Amino acid sequence: MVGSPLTEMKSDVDAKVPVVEAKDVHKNFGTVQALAGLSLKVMPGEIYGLLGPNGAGKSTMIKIITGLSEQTSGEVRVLGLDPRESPVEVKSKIGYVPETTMLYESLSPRDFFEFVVSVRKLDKKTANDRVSKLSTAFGLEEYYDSPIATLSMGTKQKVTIIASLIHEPPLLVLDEPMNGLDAKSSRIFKDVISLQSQQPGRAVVFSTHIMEVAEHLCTRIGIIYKGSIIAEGSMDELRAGVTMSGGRQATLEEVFLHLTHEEEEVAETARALREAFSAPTV
Amino acid sequence: MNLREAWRLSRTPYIELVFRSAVMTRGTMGGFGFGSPARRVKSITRGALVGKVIITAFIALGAVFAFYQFAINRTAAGLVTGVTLSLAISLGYTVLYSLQVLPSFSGAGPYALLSTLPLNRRDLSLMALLSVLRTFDSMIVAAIVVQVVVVAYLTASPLATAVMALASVANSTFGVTVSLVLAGLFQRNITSGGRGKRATLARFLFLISWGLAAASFGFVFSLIQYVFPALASAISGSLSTTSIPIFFSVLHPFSAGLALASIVFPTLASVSPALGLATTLSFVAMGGYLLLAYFAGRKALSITERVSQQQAATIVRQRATEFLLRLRRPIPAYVIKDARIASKNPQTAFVFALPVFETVIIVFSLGQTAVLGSTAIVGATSLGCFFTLISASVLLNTEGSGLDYTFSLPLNARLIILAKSVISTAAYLPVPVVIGVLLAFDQSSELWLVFVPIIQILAVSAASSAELAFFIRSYRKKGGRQTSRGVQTRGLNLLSAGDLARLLGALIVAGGLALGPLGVFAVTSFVTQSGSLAVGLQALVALAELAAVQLYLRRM
Ligand SMILES: Nc1ncnc2c1ncn2[C@@H]1O[C@H](COP(=O)(O)OP(=O)(O)OP(=O)(O)O)[C@@H](O)[C@H]1O
Ligand SMILES: [Mg+2]
Repeated sequence: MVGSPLTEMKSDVDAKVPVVEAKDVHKNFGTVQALAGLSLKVMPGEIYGLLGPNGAGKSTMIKIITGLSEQTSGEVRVLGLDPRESPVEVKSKIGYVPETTMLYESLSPRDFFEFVVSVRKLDKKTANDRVSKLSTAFGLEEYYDSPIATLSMGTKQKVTIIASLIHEPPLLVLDEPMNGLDAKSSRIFKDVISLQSQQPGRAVVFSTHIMEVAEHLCTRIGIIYKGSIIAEGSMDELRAGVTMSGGRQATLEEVFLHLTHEEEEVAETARALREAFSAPTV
Repeated sequence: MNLREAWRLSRTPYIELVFRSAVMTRGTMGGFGFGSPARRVKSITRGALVGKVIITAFIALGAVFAFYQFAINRTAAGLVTGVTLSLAISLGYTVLYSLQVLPSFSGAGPYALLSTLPLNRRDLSLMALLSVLRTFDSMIVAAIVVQVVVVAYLTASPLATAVMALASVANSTFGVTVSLVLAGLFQRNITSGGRGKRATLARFLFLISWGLAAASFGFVFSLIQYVFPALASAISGSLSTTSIPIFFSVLHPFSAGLALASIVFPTLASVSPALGLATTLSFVAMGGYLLLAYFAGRKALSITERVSQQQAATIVRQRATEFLLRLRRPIPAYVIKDARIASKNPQTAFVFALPVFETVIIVFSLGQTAVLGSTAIVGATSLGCFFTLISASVLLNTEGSGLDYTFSLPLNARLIILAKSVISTAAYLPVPVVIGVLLAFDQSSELWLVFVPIIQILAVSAASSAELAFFIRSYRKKGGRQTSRGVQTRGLNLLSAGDLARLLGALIVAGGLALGPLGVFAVTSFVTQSGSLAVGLQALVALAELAAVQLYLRRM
């Protein structure tokens, strides 16, 4: 069904339409089950953090949201659209930072931005304005005309971050965006995320392993474990379920380890490690 | 570490080399099919093995067939040609093959982990060299064995066989070294950026020389066809100029051929003073080339040493003072992006060599014909179309490691196909120009024939779009279920058997589309003798093809 032009235009600023909605999403890679009935909902104004151990399914879910990959079953809507049926529309409304910084290695950031901006059909003045502000903010002057192949990992990450922000997308989808960023750039980046979520109708979904970032930045956190969300809520809501000895408030790390049943494992591993290190070397 | 152990251990970096090169051309997500990750790695390495077997078979067969003339006639000229052609084929295909495997070599990625292990420098670079040799092993062995066995069988001369063995080993060494040097050159080309005048000029010169090198490789075969008569008459003593045999006697594969022939035919040196000098020189040159092979081997060793120890090239950076972007419409932007990347990638730079290549081919093929009639023009035009179509699929590799990023942009398959076919159609444009100029200079010819290659621009555009659609598609219906209209792009990796099969299918369809209008022209003009009717029908068919392909792209 084709919606009327009016509802389609309104969809990205309507406060009641979820920016992302996933219901019972499954994804299998052969015999590997990466997602096992994952459901989540992200409303405008939210910064939604995806937390989970390695291999839990964060990147898989993110690729499905961005239309890069298809679910085996289940429903996904991004701003009311199905990424499988309207991938081009969905992609034009998303700013995406992939997990690996695999870019067109022989292009310079300038060539790369020119390409992205042209393909996204942006207005010349606003695009130039935004690119120059973002590039200055992230200190890209020195690397602007060097081939991406020669940039450091963090600099490559900055290039993808800038490319994801140029078109002021209603939805930012970031897969471990803090990877490789230095202190100054992470600071700037956190500000960028906050600013994005304050614009009407916008939202951010990102995955991270840095508890401190999730704790302070996210309005809501979803914890993925073995392909589905096992706990979801604001920091306070998540904390409520975990009681620490002495009435102390639990940190996110403690909540996370508790929920993913890794508490005892960590303690046990620590014991084993101590033994290994104190054992006399042969 | 002894050689045996190093050889065994070098399998790991070799697999990594193959895998990374495949990922570089096809991205990490696209095109490896489904299944567990371990199965995918296996499918890539199996694909690489199949590719290797195919190329090895090609080299072995080519190296044998080069001798067919000698096998029939047993003349000295036949033997010279056989040895030369055989060596040229094995050298050329080894280098061409390496361009598929070695892109990831210069990036040093495959050795990153290895170099952290407690291995000494010597062992490390030995393993690196062996992992590179593993990519060529079957080709080198096949070439050497075939050449030595064929010469031994046909000449029954131990001395000639020994010379063949030496030449063959030297030839293989050149192949490996040239491949490594080329890989290094392209790596430097990738890492030296900038839009300054000097950088642009350097890149332009690099492309032109790459074009000429590629063209001259393609011409080894036809060159021999032109040189053979000259050689034959030189050898029979009827040639008056002395420079030809002397010139060729010092050129690599020819020198080996001439030296070998003078062993088998001892009277050769006494045919004429020029030939006597040439055969003497060919032995001197052989000695020189053996020495050169020794140094080439050392050069290969030092290159692998440098790469395995991650000694990167120096980079010069300039601070940007402004961040201005030049905006374009999506298709031109895609064309520019592809052209920029293509010029720096060894697998795709050939597209830029194409105009040079086409010009030379057409001038040669038409330069020989007495009358530039419709037959000659149809022939030259179809040659031009053929080379354009060969190059179109090469453009798939311009995505490189950015393939996954291309997926994430709001692009549909049609736009990508159109952008790439714009480039391949542009690469065809020298054909009508060159034919037009040749027709204009030939008084007896009919100038209207220039419309034939001009109309083919439409057919080439339709054909290259269809060819690319084989690789870039968007699925709509799958088992009756509405599925993604997202783009599925994949690079072309000639190491993969699946890609080879698809390429064959694509070339058959594209070849049909490109030659269809030409065929209509040829048949109509033959039957009706009316040029205008033939050109009109050709244009109609070409237009219909273009419309059909565009309609298909819109609906896919
Ligand atoms: N392309 C693929 N082919 C096969 N299996 C895959 C593929 N991508 C992911 N998987 C599998 O799916 C599961 C989830 O992977 P995913 O990348 O989503 O994890 P993640 O939560 O992002 O982990 P990390 O924190 O390490 O980034 C893993 O078991 C992984 O091995
Ligand atoms: Mg991940």
